[in-house]
Amino acid sequence: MSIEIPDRWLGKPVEGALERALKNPNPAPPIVTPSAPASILPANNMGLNRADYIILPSQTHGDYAYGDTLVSMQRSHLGENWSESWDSLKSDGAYMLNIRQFVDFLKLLRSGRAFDGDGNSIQLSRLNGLYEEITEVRDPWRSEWLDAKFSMQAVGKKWVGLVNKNAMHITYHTADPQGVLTEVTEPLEPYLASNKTPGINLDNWRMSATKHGLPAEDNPDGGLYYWQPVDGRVARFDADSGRAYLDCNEGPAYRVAELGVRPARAKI
Amino acid sequence: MSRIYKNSTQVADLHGVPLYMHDVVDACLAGRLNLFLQGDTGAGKTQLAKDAMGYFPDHSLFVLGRNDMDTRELFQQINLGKLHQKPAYNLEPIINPDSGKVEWHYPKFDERGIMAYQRLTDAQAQTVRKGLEAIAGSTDNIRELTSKVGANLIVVDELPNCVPAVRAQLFNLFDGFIEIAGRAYPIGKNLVATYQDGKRTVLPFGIDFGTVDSLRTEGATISSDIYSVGIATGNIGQQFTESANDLGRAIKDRMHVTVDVDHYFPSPSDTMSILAGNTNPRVEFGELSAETGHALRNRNTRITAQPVPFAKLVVANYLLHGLDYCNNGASKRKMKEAWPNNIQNNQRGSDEALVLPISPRAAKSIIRLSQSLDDIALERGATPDVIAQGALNSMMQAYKLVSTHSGVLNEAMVKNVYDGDRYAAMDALIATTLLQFAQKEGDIMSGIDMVRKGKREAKIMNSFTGRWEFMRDTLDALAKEGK
Repeated sequence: MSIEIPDRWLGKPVEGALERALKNPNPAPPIVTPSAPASILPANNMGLNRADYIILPSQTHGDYAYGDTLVSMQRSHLGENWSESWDSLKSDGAYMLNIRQFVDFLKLLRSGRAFDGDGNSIQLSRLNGLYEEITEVRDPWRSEWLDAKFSMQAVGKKWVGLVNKNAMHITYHTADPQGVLTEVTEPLEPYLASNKTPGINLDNWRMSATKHGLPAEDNPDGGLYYWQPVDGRVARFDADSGRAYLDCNEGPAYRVAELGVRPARAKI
Repeated sequence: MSRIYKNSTQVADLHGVPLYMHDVVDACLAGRLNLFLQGDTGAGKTQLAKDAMGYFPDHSLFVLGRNDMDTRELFQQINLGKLHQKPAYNLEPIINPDSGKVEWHYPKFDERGIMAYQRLTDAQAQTVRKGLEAIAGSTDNIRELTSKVGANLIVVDELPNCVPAVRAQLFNLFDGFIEIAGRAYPIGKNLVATYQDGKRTVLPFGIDFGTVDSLRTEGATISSDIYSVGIATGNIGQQFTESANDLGRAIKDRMHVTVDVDHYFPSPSDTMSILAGNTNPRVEFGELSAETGHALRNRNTRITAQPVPFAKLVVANYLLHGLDYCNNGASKRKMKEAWPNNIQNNQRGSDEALVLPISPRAAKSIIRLSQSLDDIALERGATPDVIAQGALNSMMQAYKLVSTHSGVLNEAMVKNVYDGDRYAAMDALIATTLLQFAQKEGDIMSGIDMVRKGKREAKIMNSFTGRWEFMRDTLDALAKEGK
C-alpha cells in the first residue's frame, strides 16, 4: 500500500515550513493552552496542564506572605524521601507546600469554592473528594511530605558566661512571584509543643494555625493525631485506615511507596 | 433506520456535526467493525442493536444468549443443525507403501484385549464412508448449507450468558465463518485473510482452524468475502477488561469497538418521552428501514477503498509507538507486567503511567472507525476541507470508542485519580495528546516539507526525540515512498 506525501498537515500547507525551521536557530516551542477541561500531565512535563492544578490564592500570615500558587490535585514522586522529593520537584520547576500553605489548601478545599489553573470553577463534589483524599481515615494509606525541617537552635546573642536559650526553629521556603525560592529559618511562634495521640481538632487547626501552620497551643481535643516538631526531623501529613495525622517528627530519609508530594508552582 | 431507541445525549462533536449512539452503531456497521454494547439492564442496548437489524430485514439474525444453549442449538437456529451431528470418525487412512494407495483401517480388539487395525475392503470402506458422510454432511453439503446462511448482521443479546464454546462460534459468525471439527467454513463463498500490509489471500475452503488462529495471532484479519458483522450486548461489569478473565480476553480479541451505553445515558427529555409514549418494557422490533443494508454495504466498500489520510497514519503511529515510550527510552510493551509499577517515580502522575500503547489490530479499528465517522459527518454537511483539518480530532474520538474498554488503561490510576471513570481518563489522555500534537505541529510540518523536497536535515530529524522518535522512521519511510 503506497502512502501519498501530503502537501498539507491538518489542512495547513506545509510549503515553506522546512525553510522556516532551518532559518530559526533556536525555535521555541509554541505556547499552547489546552482547550479540554481536564488532562493528565504528559511525561517530562512537556506543557503544564493547568487544569490539574488548583489556584491557592495569595495569603498573608503575620510577616509571612505568599502569592497566588498553583497546587496540584494529585500527589506525585511516590516512593521518594524528603530530599529526593525536593530534587525531583526542583527539576520539574515545582516546589513543596510548607505547612502553612498546606493548611490554607485544606481550608480552600473545605470552602467549596475554588478554581483550577485555567480559571474554571471546580465542582463542589470534586473539592470534597480531594479533601477526603487527604484527610479521610480509610484505606489506602496516603501520605505527603511538607516543606518544614525542624532544628533546635540558640536564640539571642551569645554572651560570655551566659547560657543561651534554645528554641525550636523551622526551615521552609518562600517563593517570589516568579517562583524563585528562598530558604528561611526562624524560631517557631508559640505552638502546641506536645504530642496528642489522639488528637488535635482538625477544624480548629485549619482555622487557627500559627504563622508556620502548626496547631495553636490551645487546640482542643480531636481526632487528628499530632506529633510535635523534633530536632532534625521534617513534617508530613498522613491518613490511613487507622488515623489521620500531622507528623513533625519524621526522618527525612524515610521512603515508602505510598508517600509522595503535592507539587506547587507560582502562578505566573 | 427505524429509531425506537431514543437518546439525544451527544457522544462526540466531529467536524461541527454532533454524533449520537445511533451514529456510532452506523459507523461500526459501515466500517464492518464488531460492536459490543455494555451496560446495565434496561439501559436500551438491546433496543439499539435491534434497531440496527432494521437495515437488514431478511438478512439479520438475533440470538438470545443463554447458558444452556449448546452449539447444536445455535447451528439449528442458523439452519446448520445437520453440520453439528458429525460423529467421531474412527476410520484411519493409511498409505500402502507397496501400492501407494490409500487404505482404510479400523481399530479392533482381539480376545486378549489388544487393539489392532484391521483393513477394510474398498467396497466396505466406500459403504462406511458414504454412510458417515451422509449423516455428517460432506464438504459439498457444508458448502451448500453455509452459502445459504444469508445473515449480514448477527445480533447476540446477553453474550456473556453463552458458554465459551457457543461464544467462540458466535465470534466466528461475526467474522463470517463457522468452525466444524477443527475446520473453518465461510458463510458466503470464501474466507479471506487480510494481512498487516494490506495484502489479501483467499483461504482454502475448510481450512484448518489452527491455521486461522495462527494467522489471526500474527495480525491478519479473517473475514468472509460477503459483508458480515456482529453486535453483541451484555452487562459484565468493570472486571471484564481484566486480562485474567476469559470473557474479557475474548471480547477484547474479537470485538473491535466496546461502548458503555450507561456512560451515554439518554437525557431526561428522552426518558420523559420514552416513558410518556410507551410503558412497554419489552424490546420492540423496528419497522422496516428506509435505508437498506445494501446502502451500508456500499458505504463499507467506499470506506475501505479510500486511502487513509497521512495525518491519521501519524496519529496511529503515535498511539502505537509514542505511547510505548517510557522511562527515558524504555518500552512499556517490553516491560510487560512490570508496567506501571516500574515507571520512574517522577513520571507516575503522567500519561506514561496511565496508558499502554495500542495494538496494531486496535490501530486498524481506530482508523476504520474514524473513516466511518468522517463519512457520516460528510453526509451531514461537513466539507472535505473541514474533515481534513479535523483528522486528529476524528482519530481521538475513534480512539476513545475503541480503546476505553480494551485494557490499555492503568485500572488503579483510573480508580484513584478518575473515580473509576474510564471515559474521564480517556478524555484526559486525549486532551494531552491534542496538546502534544499542537506543540509538535511545526516540527511535523517541517518534516513533511523536508520529505517533499527530497532532503534529509539532521536538525529536523533531531527535533523528534522521546515519545516522538517514531517520526524519524516515519519520515524516512515516507521519503522512500516518494522516490
